[in-house]
Amino acid sequence: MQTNKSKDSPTPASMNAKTKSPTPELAGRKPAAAAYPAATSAAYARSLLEASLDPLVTISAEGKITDVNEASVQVTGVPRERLIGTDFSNYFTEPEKAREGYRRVFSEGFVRDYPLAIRHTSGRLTDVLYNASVYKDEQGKVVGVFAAARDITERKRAEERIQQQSKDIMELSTPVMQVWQGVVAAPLIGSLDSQRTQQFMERLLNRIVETNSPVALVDIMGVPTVDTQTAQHLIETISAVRLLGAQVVLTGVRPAIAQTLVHLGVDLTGIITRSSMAAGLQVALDILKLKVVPQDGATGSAKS
Amino acid sequence: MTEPHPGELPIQSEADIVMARRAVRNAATALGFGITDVTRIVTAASELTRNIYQYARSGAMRWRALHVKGRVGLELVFEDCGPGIPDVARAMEKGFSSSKGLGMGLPGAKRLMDEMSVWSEVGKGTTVQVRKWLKK
Amino acid sequence: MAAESISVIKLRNLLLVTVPPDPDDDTVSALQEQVLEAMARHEAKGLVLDISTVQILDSFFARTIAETVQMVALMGGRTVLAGMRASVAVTATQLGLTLGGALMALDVDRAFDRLQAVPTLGGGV
Repeated sequence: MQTNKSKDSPTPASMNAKTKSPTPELAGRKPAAAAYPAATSAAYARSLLEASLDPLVTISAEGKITDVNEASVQVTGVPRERLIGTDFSNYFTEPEKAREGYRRVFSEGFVRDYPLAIRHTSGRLTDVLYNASVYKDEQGKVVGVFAAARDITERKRAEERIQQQSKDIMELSTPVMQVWQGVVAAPLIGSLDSQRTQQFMERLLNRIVETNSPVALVDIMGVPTVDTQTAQHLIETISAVRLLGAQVVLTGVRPAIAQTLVHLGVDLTGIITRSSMAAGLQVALDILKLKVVPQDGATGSAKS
Repeated sequence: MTEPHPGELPIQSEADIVMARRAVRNAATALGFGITDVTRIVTAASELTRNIYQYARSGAMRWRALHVKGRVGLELVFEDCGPGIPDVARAMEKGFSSSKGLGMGLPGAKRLMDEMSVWSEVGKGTTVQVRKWLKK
Repeated sequence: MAAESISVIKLRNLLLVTVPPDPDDDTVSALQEQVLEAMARHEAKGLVLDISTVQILDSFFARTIAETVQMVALMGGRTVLAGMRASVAVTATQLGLTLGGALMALDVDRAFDRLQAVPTLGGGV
């Protein structure tokens, strides 16, 4: 193996003197393997593969590992000699899924962002996305599959954090508050999907039972639209509240939502509605047979 | 969460309906389902067990935990060698009811669970499989 | 299987029955019989069914309650179901269960208030 004595890479000028620039894009760049004699180019390529932080692996047409880099050894915990010649799917938590990906590379020529989890001998799991493609010999015959794994553990952790935060936001944005003895209020804000509405329903029912409140003010002014399923859940919520022995006063129904509800043929008989939560509160007081009166001597600006 | 063991319960009397409810409650609670989902699952089991007793007189309920692609769930299977359901599709229609209601309770159980599959042959029997998954 | 014993309590001219947490079919049927028998014996004007400990409400139970409500009405009384649990309400709604026009109340206290507030007329729910 010839070693390159010079510390600096050859300049473009010397490169042009010795070899043809392989492709227009490479001209002017620091020389790649093309500028090196064949023996060192192999070593150079190898050193790049070994330097890669991503686990790289070549797999034969029979599904056996033919070569690995250091990163693959690290992620599996299995020494190079023991990896080579074994079934590549052994090292995943879902071997059948790995084999399916491998079959897809052969049938389509490549596979991108294929999710798998690699199992280390210690039990540690690493979530990865695979980019793989077939590679061919000089005659163009497919020799095997070259696969590179991208570690997405950090990304997965971030995704889980976001999911938890979404859950927290969902809870914070559909609060159910007791506003008076016997009255709970729930201002709904934002678009309601099926899951959110179901969670809201459970929370509302629990609060009604906890606080022993016969009236629940549900305001949907802040809800832009509802789809069929969500409208169903809203109606279910109102029915469920009735079963508890309480009732819902629905306020803030926008024209768009009124249209959806009527078009759905939703049975709105028996559902008390008002335009605003303030008006709904008045209904609540009436139901509870309560009256707001000014304190002694005060004039009181709000009439009951 | 503790892993519930898979199990089987013969259904041969009205008393077994309550036994089925208790077994399913234990399994669902052990898997970590919340109170509302436990209620849904037990209610579905009650409906389907009662179906067996009412129309086939004898059968069995089996249950097991599911672990698929990182998700955890509970599977219940209700089997009988009863008269079978002539028209499963119709029995599954929401709101379908008839006085002799073979297949009664199927739409309701379907609403309470996440997945349902029904196999039935007239004169041979019926198998109903339902599943519910833990929400993340 | 022996039905659990159901106690029917008479308060003024109303009846109170506390339903056990997970009654079997025999108990549910026995409940209906005992309620009707007590209605007749005491000429009660109303019935409060305390379901605050009931964990499961399936279609059989719901049907029996609906029947009982109608039978009590025919005997000149009104029925109030008190204290349904949130999880039961969610499930019952999803199942589409109706309870025969029974009135609902958050707890037994409110149930009694409800029954006593109405002038005592015979019949009708």
